[in-house]
Amino acid sequence: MKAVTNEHYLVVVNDEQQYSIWRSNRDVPRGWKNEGFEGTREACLAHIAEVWTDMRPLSVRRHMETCQ
Amino acid sequence: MNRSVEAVVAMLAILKLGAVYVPFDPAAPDERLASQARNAGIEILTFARECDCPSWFVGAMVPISARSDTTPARLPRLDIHPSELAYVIHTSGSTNEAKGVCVTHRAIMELVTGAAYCNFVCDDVVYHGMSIAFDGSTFEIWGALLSGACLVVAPHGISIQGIVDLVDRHAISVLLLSTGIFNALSRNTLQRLTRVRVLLAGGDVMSPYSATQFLSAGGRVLVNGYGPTEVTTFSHCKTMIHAPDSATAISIGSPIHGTAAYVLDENGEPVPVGEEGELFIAGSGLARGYLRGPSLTAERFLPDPFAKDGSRMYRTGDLVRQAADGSLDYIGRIDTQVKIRGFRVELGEIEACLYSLVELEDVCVVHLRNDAGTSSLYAYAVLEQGREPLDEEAVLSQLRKQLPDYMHPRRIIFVDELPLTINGKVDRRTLIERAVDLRDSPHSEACSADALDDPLEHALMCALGQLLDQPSLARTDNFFEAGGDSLSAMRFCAQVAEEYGVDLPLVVLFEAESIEEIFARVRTLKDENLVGSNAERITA
Repeated sequence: MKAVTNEHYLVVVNDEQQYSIWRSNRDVPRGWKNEGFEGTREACLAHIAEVWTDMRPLSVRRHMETCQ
Repeated sequence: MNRSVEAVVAMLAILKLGAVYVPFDPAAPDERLASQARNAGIEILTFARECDCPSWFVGAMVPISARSDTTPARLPRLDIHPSELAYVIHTSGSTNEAKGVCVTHRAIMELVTGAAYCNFVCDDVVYHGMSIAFDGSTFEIWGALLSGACLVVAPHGISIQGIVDLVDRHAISVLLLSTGIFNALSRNTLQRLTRVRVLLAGGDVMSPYSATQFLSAGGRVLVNGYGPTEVTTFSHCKTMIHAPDSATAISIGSPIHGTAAYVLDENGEPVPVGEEGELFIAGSGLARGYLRGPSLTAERFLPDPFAKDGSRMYRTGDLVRQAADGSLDYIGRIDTQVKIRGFRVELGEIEACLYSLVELEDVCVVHLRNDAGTSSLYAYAVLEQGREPLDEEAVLSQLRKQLPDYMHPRRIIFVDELPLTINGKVDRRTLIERAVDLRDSPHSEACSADALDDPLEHALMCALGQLLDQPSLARTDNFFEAGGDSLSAMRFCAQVAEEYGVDLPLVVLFEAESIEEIFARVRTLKDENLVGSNAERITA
């Protein structure tokens, strides 16, 4: 595989609602889905800073709700 | 809080409430602690009852005593999800702020219960000598308490002699030392530590020489531990029972239970055995991320393409090479993170701090390490055009209020421009060479060791000069202002003990205004020793 110079990334998210970034030229790993946003690394990270406001994994959120 | 029984009581109490503890080392500058507390949203600060109430915190404060007269009526009823947080530990970040690493209950359980490299048992006596703000303390405290073992809390500012005495007195069986200290131990000291069931060292690159010394002196098990805070103390361990081939570097071993490791190239593809690559770590020891840092978290915690279950892997920034047996050799960093006295330091954080203090066009901080393993930092700064020249000392003293001592540059050198590489990046290598020249050229005529007639002072000055990497020390210099730190202080005390049979208390170095005073103390102790041994001879 050749090194990519002008890298293009996707914002990806897993079932726990955890966000990350992934190079767009590679298959998104199983267990993750394309969130919809794509762009440079910086743009993707800036988007994540906006949307990932509750950093607790989904299972923890649910657990804490049932405990209350 | 300083390391203390009170601190452990506070941690237990906080977890019993279902809350999260965020340990702070009181030695850090107040401004830094205050900003970390604000960022972490700390509501309640605990402090040891007999200590002063911290002045930098606004909010509720609870004094903690080691003894309580009342026994709680019942155990707390808690239903904690394994991925809920247990603690947040701050580590240097490349922006002008430390990052809070969020560690889960599950990660701690995994570290302790999966500890094949140590196998805690209830008969163990575990030494606790790490700062509570450093994640080595996770291993010590929870390793002991979750196994029903005994935890021995070392007093603040303990000397190497003090460690050896504690090991003997309490028959300590599990001893974790920061690698910097381990590497600095003398043969005698290593020999005296061979009683422990397992000696672990972590935080830096282990010296094969010290490892050989320990194991050939009869040491039973020696563990070289590796792991960033984001993977909860240790992700890899190399367990040794026989002296290694002292010519080769000691590997960081293989992943601990519940941990997977990948060595990947810049495209995220696994590299062949024997080739260099970046280390990625996956498994239940992974932190949840950085506190209030979604983009920082997303950048370092990436989808694990090999697990296929939606889990993540942490990008360490460490370069390693995988051997045929699966163990890893540590090579270095891919960025400008360095280790100073076992602490992770992002040079970028010091640079960002300098930018925030002074209007600078450009700045670059470089890290040097001498043969004795002592670190020093030099900052090269370019002032904005037309700015009046600045007083170096004034800027340094401002910086000292913001950053912990191990992050203080020794000098700030103002230059017209920074050297660049062909690619237009700052040429760090050239700056490092310049800093080495600066370090090695005595910049004052002040007395160096050679100017001292007294043989004791001459020997002590030579030892200090080497330890501090300062060829031109003056008797009137202050040990810490001349670049000393607690590690070099411990080493100096150990050397004095070795050479003169004198137990110089570490606190002397902290309290002495000048090197002169330290020398005077050594002389007094040495003379007392002589008188003492004569007296014994007379009575015998």
